[in-house]
Amino acid sequence: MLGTLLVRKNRFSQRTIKWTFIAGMLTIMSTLFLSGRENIFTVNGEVESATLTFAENRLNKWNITGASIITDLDNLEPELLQQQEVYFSPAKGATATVNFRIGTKRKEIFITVASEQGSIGVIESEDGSFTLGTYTEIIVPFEHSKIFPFVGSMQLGEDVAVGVENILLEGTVKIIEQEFIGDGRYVAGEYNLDRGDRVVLYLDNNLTRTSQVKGFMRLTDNNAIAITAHGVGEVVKVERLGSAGYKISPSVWARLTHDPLIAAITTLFATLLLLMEFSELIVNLSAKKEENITSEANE
Amino acid sequence: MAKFYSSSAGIFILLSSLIGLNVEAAQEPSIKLLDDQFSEQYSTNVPVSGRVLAGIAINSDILPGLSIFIPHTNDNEQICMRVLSRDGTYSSLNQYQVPNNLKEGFQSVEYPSEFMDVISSFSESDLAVLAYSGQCKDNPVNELYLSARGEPKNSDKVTIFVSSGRSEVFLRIPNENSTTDMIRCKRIQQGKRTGYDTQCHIGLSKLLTGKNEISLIRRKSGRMLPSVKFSILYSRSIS
Repeated sequence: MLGTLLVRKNRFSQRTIKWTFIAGMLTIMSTLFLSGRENIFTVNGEVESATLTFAENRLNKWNITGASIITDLDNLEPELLQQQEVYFSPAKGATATVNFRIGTKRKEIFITVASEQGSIGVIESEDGSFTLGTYTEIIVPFEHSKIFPFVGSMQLGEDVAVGVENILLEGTVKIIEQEFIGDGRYVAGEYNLDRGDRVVLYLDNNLTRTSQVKGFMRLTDNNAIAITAHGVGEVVKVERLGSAGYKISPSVWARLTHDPLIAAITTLFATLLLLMEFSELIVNLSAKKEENITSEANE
Repeated sequence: MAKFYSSSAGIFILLSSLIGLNVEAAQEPSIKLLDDQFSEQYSTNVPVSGRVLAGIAINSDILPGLSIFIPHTNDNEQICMRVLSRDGTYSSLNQYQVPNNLKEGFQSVEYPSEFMDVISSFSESDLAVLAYSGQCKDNPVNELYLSARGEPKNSDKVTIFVSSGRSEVFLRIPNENSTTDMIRCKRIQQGKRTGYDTQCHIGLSKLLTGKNEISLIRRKSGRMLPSVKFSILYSRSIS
């Protein structure tokens, strides 16, 4: 009778330990899985047109030597900037759309810059600098490859609609997530974009704040503009014709497979749980055996 | 006791029906559909028209129902009303008959939509209403009326919605000095822009009484696209 009671008590304490262990394990795993991490999104694409809204940063300085500008819509004759070296430094909040203009004789880089908040920026040359108004078109003859670096918010591609001529041709979104401990990072997912998609990186899931990205566009003999941009964010919104679009964000399962710490802890917990089950089975079997022997002796 | 309950219920039903009748009478739209059939589409498989001008609206609180500002009426006047969502999923096109001797001001429009929940969920910038004098089959549209969703606010802002094909859009509007002012329009950046992509804001005080002849200028990659000319019918009594 006493033996049976002891076995029952032993079983009860074993069960308590087991469930406490499982509860603790679930808490730790939930913390590891759902903890906030810094995600860096890398967006690569080939586009026919790129739109940027500039942040205040010295990296935003474009060589436009040989360019002509139109600043007044009542005078559409472009004014040639004849200086040896000319740079355009956009103001914070100015929005630029860059595309190629391909004529029969020559190819040009066409930049439209506009601002809601005042001047779009400054033209700098060896003769000094002058401030532009709220709207300017910059036409740069294409003679050799150019790189335009930028810091600001970016939309890659245009959503297809009537009259839209320049779209995204191809691209990828890569998510690089921070490891739980340390500065290490891992690729938490890579997604291909379809032709005609429009992509914007946001800082929040409600899509209210766009992320400030650092990147560059490369303008070459190819008629498409190659863009690479990196930015910290929470979600990438993809607009796609004929659908409600979708969001790209790091998957919880990617953490399980890619974060070394989570992978190690998961394996450790699984092993411990297995050992616990195994030991409980052995204890139960031996207790049953002991019980049988006791009952046989009593008989 | 049972008798008391039954008489109370009777009074309650009578009062409810009376209140219901009163509300219905108050919500009776002033401008009614010409045909019995109401034409609208709601689909994610977006059919989009190539019309540049998508709508003209005055700032208003978003309530179920639409209204149009009628500055004057001609006998047997007909109005065409197009409604289009920014994402292109919802659209409607219907012909209306304006009753004779309708008083000047915002008049509610009969709008028996099956998708009122969807329409109510659209924000102010997500739904464009284009109301113009004449037949829906008429092209191009000319005389446009201001529209509002629900009760117009005591606001000084009129918004023109444009499907620009991602071009730079400017409005040339007449001023009191018999010259014109140029206004640059703003590209919508958020969300899908299949229905329209640009908003032009005009101060209500900038509109002149009568016909406001406006030119919509579009510029794309350094070339001018054909300008769109239209007029907004307006009267100072609105403000």
